[in-house]
Amino acid sequence: MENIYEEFFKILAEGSEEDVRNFLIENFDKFPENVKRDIVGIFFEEAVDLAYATLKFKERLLETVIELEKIKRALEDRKRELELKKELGIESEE
Amino acid sequence: MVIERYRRRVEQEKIEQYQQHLESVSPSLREILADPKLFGLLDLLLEQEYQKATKNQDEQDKQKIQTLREKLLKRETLAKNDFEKLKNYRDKIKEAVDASKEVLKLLDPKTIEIIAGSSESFKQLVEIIDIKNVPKFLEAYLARLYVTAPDKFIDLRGKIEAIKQAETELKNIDNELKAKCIEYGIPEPEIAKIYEESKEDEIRRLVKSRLNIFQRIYDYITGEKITTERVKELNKINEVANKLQQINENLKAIGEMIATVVFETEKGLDFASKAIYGEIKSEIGVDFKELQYSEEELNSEWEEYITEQLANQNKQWNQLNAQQKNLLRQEFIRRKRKEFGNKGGGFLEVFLKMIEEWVNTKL
Repeated sequence: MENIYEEFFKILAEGSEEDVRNFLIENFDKFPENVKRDIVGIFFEEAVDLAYATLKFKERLLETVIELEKIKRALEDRKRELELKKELGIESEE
Repeated sequence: MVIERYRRRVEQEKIEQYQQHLESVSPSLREILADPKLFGLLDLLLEQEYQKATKNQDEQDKQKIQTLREKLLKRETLAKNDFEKLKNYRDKIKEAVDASKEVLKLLDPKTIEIIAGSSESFKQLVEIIDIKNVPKFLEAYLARLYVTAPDKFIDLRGKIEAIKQAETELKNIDNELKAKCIEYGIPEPEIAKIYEESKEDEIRRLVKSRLNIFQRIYDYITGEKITTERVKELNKINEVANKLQQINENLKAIGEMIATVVFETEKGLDFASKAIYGEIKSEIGVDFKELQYSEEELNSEWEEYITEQLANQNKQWNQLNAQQKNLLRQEFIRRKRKEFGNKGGGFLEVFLKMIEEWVNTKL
């Protein structure tokens, strides 16, 4: 039977990144402690990046919605003002 | 009375001196040499010094580092200047261990849960090892990251701090976004339906198309200095009406995007975050493709290396003792690490670890 490292290099050479990820997770218990620590470490780093990006993404999304709403309100006011001027027969000087 | 006071003062000074003594503060040199995790850090520091000496073409320094390394591996008697050097390394190791512990303090179960919620791979691992064991697994990894890639360590710590700080805000942001989503025409049951029914490809397609809109809207907003200035430019009712129409469409699109992307669809989130935040995407050290290495390639490199080394020493493999074999293995790993320059962390660390383990099982 192939040892776990031979299997790893086989998947690394032939498989996709996803295959390598799955292999590391599925065979996690077969690795010695020092390798387990590295596996947890790299996936942790990646998860922190993703959690941070998600947080910033949500913040930016909310900011954008709020900005859009401000523009919308300003435009609605402007539209009302122009309509009123038109109704009253006042020419816009702008 | 005076003598007694003097005696106490001398004793107190001795205690203080002892407390300041390096060996009284953990990790001591003895602990470092006895603990494989700490010894690994020492070896990394020696490797860094060796690389620095190579770069500076300082052959004398290179030789000194190599000799110290061999002495440590062979457990040979150390000279006085070896101890002085080791004390400097010990300080750096303590710094790395302390930095790692500081980060671990931030990682309570709630924060780990938030982090794990963003990555399916990490989530699966947390389930295997149990959430309470996560810090234990990360301690040595973080200390090593501090030594190999300090910038990356600082970046990671900053991100964890930001996530921790936002723990309470996150719920509010989620609620606000959910409210906006409903406000722009996506009823709550519909949001749940989208989560349940969304398939990965569909999410990607949807997110992609929505992102384009999102980016356009964002450009539109940020392209203007002040919102009111923009409004001032518009002096015709039709133009204002058109703009309003555009804004309404965009708000609706944003509502749909929030519903599709923001809540619980991890793949969609992953995609959207990476697409928008290309600039904050982490340095994973090396690209996965750079590491697509077959065992045959590795084998042939090892064979070439070992043949050359044995020829230099005019010996056969079976004539070497365990320590000499170990030194050759370490040198092979060192060369592999050198191939990737200063890139550290990420898959490279696992890759190098696998090579190390592979070399050890082979011989």
